[in-house]
Amino acid sequence: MQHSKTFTSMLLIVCAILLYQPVYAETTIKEQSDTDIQDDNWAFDDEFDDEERTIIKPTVWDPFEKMNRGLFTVNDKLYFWCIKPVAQKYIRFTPSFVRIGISNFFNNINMPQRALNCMLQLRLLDTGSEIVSFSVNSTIGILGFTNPAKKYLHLASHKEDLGQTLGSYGIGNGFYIVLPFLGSSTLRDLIGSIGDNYLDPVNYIEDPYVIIGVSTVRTVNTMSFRVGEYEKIKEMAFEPYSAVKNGYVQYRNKQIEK
Amino acid sequence: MKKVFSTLFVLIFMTSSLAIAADDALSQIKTSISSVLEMFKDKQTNATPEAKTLQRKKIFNIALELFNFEEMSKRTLGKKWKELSKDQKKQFSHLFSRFLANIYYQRLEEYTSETVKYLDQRQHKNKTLVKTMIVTQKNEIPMDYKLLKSDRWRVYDISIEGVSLVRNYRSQFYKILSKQGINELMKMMQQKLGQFSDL
Repeated sequence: MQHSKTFTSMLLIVCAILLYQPVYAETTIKEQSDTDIQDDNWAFDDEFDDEERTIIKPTVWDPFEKMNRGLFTVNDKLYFWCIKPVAQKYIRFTPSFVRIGISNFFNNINMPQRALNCMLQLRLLDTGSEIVSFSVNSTIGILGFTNPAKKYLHLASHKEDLGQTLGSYGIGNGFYIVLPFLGSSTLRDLIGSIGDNYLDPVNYIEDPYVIIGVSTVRTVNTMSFRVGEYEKIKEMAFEPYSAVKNGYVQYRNKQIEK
Repeated sequence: MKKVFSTLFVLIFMTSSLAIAADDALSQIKTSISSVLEMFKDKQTNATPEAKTLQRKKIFNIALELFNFEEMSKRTLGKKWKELSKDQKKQFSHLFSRFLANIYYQRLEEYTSETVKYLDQRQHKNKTLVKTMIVTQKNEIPMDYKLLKSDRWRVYDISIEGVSLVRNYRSQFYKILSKQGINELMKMMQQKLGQFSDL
């Protein structure tokens, strides 16, 4: 545990140094396309007027494109050869109410991450709503396996993470990176998820084998709801790598904007 | 602050006469979507191949009314659009429209059992944004339509969960165009179209 902590803090420092330059680069871009942003606020960005800028400027810096493309292919194979068949077997033997229950449970115990990130974004009402949801779901909701807070109190959970919090502070993506197994990320979001890990209760289990077991159940259960999504993306795409990269960045930008 | 300002602005617009025009945009989307969904529901009753091709033809005609495919192609290709010859422009928007119509209705077909909620619309000059939400059992998927008024309101971009189709395809086409060129891209589109049961 000690070792991993020193390792992650070292990693953080390295990342911070790396982040410095790209952040600077992004702010200069932002200044140039100030009109874009104003229009974006209206959601009527007239892309055709300034396409000369947008087409040259990629959505995110991708200095490791070669490596990323390699990992993208690896993940593609992993999905079709491993993740998809496992998830499909799991779906066959697990009734959907059980899967939804497990998903609710993990969602519930992840409250600290959401609450803290809402707080860091000064969204105090949302922080409160997270805490109320957690209390209601953990008790009346039978350890969080059901979600009465949403059903009866109409309190939806806020998908907030540290990457979004940093984004809301104006920190740019840094660069795009494809992680083995985990897929798309950026330097900022990667740092964010390392930070979020400290708030994940599963990581505070003593026995490492139990952690692996629990994480596997969580991952397979999550994937069971998402089987087929990747195929659709691939079907729609002419250039799957660019499609996923652009989609990820657009999706994250929207999440940060909210 | 910007939000407050924009909501105020929208409120002013909504009370003005322009709201009627924006209503047109919304009703246009509503009728198009519901008529297509209606047709999908009919599918069980007329399952013969002839009926199906007829249905697909009808659907594509509705798509032509709902979408401004030329505008979509223009926006997707951006700067490169101007470099194309007249024939290439025509061919490209033809291919792209067939492709998008196929994709769009395939998704809509999957959502037949789900409900579409129409949330909000905003107008800004000759453009309107219509926000909808597809409600499924497990979650809600925001789907926004951007419309442009020429002779009538027509959709020029769709965003699903904040991901704009035009921007996404632009990033892909840019990559392909810079490496392989327009002819290769059109060949790829033709191949893709072959994968669908053509509309």
